[in-house]
Amino acid sequence: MSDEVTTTAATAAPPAFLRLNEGTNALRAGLGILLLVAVVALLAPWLAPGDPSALGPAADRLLPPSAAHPLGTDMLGRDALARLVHGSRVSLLAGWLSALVAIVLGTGVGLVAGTGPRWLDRLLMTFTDACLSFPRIFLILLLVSLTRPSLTLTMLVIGLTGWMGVARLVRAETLSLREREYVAAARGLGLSPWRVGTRHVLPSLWPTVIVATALRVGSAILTESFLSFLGLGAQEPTVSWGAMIQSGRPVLLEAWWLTAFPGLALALTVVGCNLLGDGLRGRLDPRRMKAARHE
Amino acid sequence: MNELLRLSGLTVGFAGAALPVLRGLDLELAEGEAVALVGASGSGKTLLARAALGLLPPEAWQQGQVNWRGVEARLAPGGWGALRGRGLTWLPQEPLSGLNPLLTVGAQVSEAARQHQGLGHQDALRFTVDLLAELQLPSPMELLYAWPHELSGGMRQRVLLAAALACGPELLIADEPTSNLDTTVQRDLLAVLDRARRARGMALLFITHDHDLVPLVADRCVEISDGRLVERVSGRHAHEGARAPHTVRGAAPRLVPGNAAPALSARALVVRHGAAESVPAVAGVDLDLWPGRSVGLVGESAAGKSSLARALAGHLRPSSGVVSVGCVAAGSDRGAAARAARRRVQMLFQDAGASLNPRQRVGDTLIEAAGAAHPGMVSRLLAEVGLDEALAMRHPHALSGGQRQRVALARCLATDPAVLIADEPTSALDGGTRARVLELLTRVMVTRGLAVLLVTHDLDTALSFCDELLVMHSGLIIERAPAASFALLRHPHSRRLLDCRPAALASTSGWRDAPAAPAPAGGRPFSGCPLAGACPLQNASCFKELPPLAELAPGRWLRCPPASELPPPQFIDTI
Repeated sequence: MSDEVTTTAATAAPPAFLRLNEGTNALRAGLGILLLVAVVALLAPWLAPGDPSALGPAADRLLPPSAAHPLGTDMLGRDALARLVHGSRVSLLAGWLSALVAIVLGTGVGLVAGTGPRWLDRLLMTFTDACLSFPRIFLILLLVSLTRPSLTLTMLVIGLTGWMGVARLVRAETLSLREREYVAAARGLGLSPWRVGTRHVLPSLWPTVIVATALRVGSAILTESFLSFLGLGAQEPTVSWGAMIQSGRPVLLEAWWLTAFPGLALALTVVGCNLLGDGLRGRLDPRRMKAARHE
Repeated sequence: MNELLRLSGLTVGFAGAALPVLRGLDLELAEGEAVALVGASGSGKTLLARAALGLLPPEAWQQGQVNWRGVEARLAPGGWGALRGRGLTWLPQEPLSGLNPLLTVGAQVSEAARQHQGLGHQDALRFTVDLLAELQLPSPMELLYAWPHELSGGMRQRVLLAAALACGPELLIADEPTSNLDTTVQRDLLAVLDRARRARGMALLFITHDHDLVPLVADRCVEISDGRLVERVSGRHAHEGARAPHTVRGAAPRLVPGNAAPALSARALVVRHGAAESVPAVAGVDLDLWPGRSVGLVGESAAGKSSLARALAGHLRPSSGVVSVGCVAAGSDRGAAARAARRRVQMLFQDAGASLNPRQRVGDTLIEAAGAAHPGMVSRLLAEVGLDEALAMRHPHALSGGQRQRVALARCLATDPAVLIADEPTSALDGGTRARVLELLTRVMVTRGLAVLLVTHDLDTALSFCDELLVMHSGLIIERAPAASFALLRHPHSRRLLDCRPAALASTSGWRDAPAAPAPAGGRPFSGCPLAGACPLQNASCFKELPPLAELAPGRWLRCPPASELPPPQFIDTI
């Protein structure tokens, strides 16, 4: 054997920040954004410069951003920053609670359909497909217009119309999980169906459900703003980003700051949710977890 | 002879891993030479092959040289691309994923011929037909227009071989090309491979984990261990040195006590995977399993072995027939009573890793299986299967293959079962581990008085471990015999299974020239014997009705009237 040994890396190594688990960066960014929004929402009364509903003097109307009003004022002379900070509470609350309703409903239906007898599976999936085929936005408009619009109703309606995708996802995952050999082995041990479901199927479902939750929150926040924009969501004096955009719409050309900042906040929050979802998907995938351990 | 391929000081590792997988190994291959590269799983056989082809995965790094005809392959004119194909080429292990499902056989094979032999479209197709005929594929003209999914595993592997040969290579690197095939199919593939190699004067690097195959294909054998190569003097030597011990059982076959009741019995068991009129996977099987005795169920893939095993273990609902466990019919699959009956029959799976919940620690798995946590129970169970109790805190992914199978066995034992159904429990394990797991199974069976059904495609394993052999084909039991000697097997299909074992082939001269058996017809279109048409003993009555499983002598049953009239086979037992 010769003493000279040529060294060849099979490929040039990518830069360090790319070699990280791809999910990690998305996860960190998403988590950072959402933490920021959450802190702002929690500390809104202390962070906001004043009362979001306090009317200013007539001279203070539609002021552009300045030192006194960093994000300007609206048509009634109210401080836009104070309103933006308080609006984050509504957006986050509506997003998480309605996503929670959708996830609980969807997981329940999907799990029952995936583990139950075939006729029940057929029934539930037909029902899910029927709900999916119903134009969601009309249902929301109908329900909201039948009663007085309120934040609670909005959240409930968003949740009740958003569970179908989750149900289908969970059912598909359950069907594949229950064919695993360790589930067969657990049945062979004479465990009750309940125990097989809760101990051997459900834990492996969590990653799917968690990722679906993060992604659902983003879309629920968007839906809530959309409803508020139409005037069907939270009502005054509750501040919401959607309502802020709506109120700034007539003066869009004179006072761009009234729509731009709530829109930006909205976009940032939704991007944060989606980044979190993508990052979690990378992290919770068992195959990826295995790869991460081997590194 | 001229040197063809030379690896010198080849070191290959993965970024972040502590030790490289291959550590400075040297290998030389001359023109027309056939070398077998033997190694356990995970020893780096495939990595070596990929390094020789310049196809290392991107996360691997390499040191040392790969020389082709004295020139470093990386620096040769045209680089790797000019060498691959005409110089050296590759026969992959997995026949299905090796073929493009969207291209016909003719398109895939003739593509290689066009690319590397410079043939026109028509010439390439003619060349392909000749090649397919040379590899003894049936009706090559029609095969040109067949899709990969229409072919059996053995045919797919031969089509892949044809595509490799169509490049006109000087060296063929075959990576475990037969490890997913039945022994009968394996024999046919090895025969055509060897003939094609000799006809072309092609060099061969045959990668395998099975020492028994070495004398069949190679002139020379190198063994890979600890990332280095060890030269074996001859294929034959390696073959004898590494054989697993065959007398696992030691004592003579245990006999059925006169007054005992079977632990599990099945009567007229039928299992269908599809509609009621579909061809059954298990077509009416009667079977008794006795305490403290093991029965080996052997047969080719798709013979219905696994379906039978899973139906007996209660994992599959039989279409008809009765399975009774300890005189209690385990008919219904619902309710607490049925679940209690099911606990009496436990199953070991081929892939122990998949049969353990990845999120459950070993100790929790055992406690759950036992149904209650008694002090010391987990360590007692682990000790019974020869594992340290510290392993109770581990998750399955932190165990080796052999340890996983032991944990799976401990989980079975935790229910205090009467019957153990083991479906190829050792076929994913390497030689030494395999022997130790079989030894453990024997010990557990004897000390606990378990009734064991061992499903395997490996007749040697079945003979060494079991008391009785059952041979299955087309969902039927075609022969039942004590596992004292292979000489007791008389059915033509059993004989064929025996003759195709690599160990038997090595001692048979002229095995390469034996005709490939015609592919058995799919399903069973007529009411006769499923093997009629592909059987040397067939007569007119074989086609008319299904022969009964008739008792030849005490403990010996045979579903073949012509074979039962023959004198005992002239057969040299290789064991």
